[in-house]
Amino acid sequence: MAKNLFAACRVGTELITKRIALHPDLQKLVAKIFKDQEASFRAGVNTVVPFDGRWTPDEDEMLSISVPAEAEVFASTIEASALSITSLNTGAFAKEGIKALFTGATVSGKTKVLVQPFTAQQVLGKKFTFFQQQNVFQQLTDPAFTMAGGLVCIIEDGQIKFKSQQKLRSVINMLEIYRAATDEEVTSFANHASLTVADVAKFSAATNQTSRKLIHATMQGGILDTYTPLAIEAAASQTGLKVDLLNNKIVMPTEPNNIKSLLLFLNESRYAGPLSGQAYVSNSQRAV
Amino acid sequence: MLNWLAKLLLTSTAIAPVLLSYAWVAYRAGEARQALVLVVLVVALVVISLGVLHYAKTQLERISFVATSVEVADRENMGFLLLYLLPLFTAQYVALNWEVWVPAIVIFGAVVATGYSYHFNPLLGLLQWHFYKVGTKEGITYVLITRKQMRHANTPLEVVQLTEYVVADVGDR
Repeated sequence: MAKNLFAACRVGTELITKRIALHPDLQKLVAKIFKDQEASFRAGVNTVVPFDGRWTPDEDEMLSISVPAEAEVFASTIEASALSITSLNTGAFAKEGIKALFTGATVSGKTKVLVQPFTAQQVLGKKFTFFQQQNVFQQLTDPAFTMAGGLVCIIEDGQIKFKSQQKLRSVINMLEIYRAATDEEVTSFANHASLTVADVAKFSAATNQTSRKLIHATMQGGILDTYTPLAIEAAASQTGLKVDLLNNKIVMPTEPNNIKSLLLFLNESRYAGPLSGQAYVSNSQRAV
Repeated sequence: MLNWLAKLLLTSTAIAPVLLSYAWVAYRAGEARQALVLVVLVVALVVISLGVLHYAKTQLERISFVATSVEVADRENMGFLLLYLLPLFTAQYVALNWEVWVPAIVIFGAVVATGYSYHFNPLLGLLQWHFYKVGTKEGITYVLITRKQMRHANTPLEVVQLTEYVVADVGDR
């Protein structure tokens, strides 16, 4: 059974798919590459856990989400007759907005899609590329691209199975999925005994992906369980951050920037310079 | 896809039998050399078409194909038959009005090519190539060129795309 290679292209806010015509010998090779990459992707994995906002799962885990509306196009492309899928413009494929290459098959009514990420760095036409011909190197002038070294996800049983949210979001829009996956944790954080949040729903809506990562880290670090609101308020004031207290609870700000500032402080990413006392915000930490 | 080349060759072989009629008329009029040229031209067209089909089989992307409907497409077509036989109704080869015949054949060829009617192709039919109109679940009808006798619509096939709506079966017989 011939397997065709398809590209998922980002056009505006939607993903559209196109067929990449390959020489039949290359078709066989590409099918083998995808098969090997699938085996490698599944190797050592014995649990598929629903995505909960984590960026990377444990080594023996894969994360899963229900297929969002924009990603339904992957399975529908595999299920359709390949002839009905428009061919990619090979002469100008660098401008097609390719985000992923994929192949797959429908066996006994079940569709499986193997997806590789595709980035602009894989387009060789953008750089000087040399290839060997008749004992000398020549410049590659025809359009060319390389394939990724592994899969970004497998789509099967109505689920997208993946290992890295960071990689997956280069293919599909993860914002809403991430929000939905982390809503529970945000609510749990907002209801912490050391915090007072006027409107949990508004607070949840005001938090972006960065804030949610910080909330996750704060909960994991147990900062609010270890230090009293009074101690936190005192320490914050030393970095120039004003923290309001009400009934011995930290009042969560309502403005997204203020929320982020407080969360950065709770993660010890905001501090005062030991000599000058200047307030700084750091984007990484390393314990010494 | 081969597009214009496949379209040109399939159209040429579809209307090529008219050259055989001309060859016969020319031969009867004592123009044996012209008759031979026409016959050689027909043979060359058929050979090139087979070469293109072979090229497509070895060089073009293969696609799994399952038809939802199959209809024999190389049935009798009165338009083609009239075109093939018209030269025979001419009294003499020298009396052929080329000013009319040449544009008529060119126009007929253009209509065949643009109307995707080249599936009436008796020369390839003689070589056991069959032409079917096959429907897909997307509701598009393609012309399928194959050496198989289609017995079931849902027979899984492996095809290559010759033009927008013409596919050739490249699977094992």
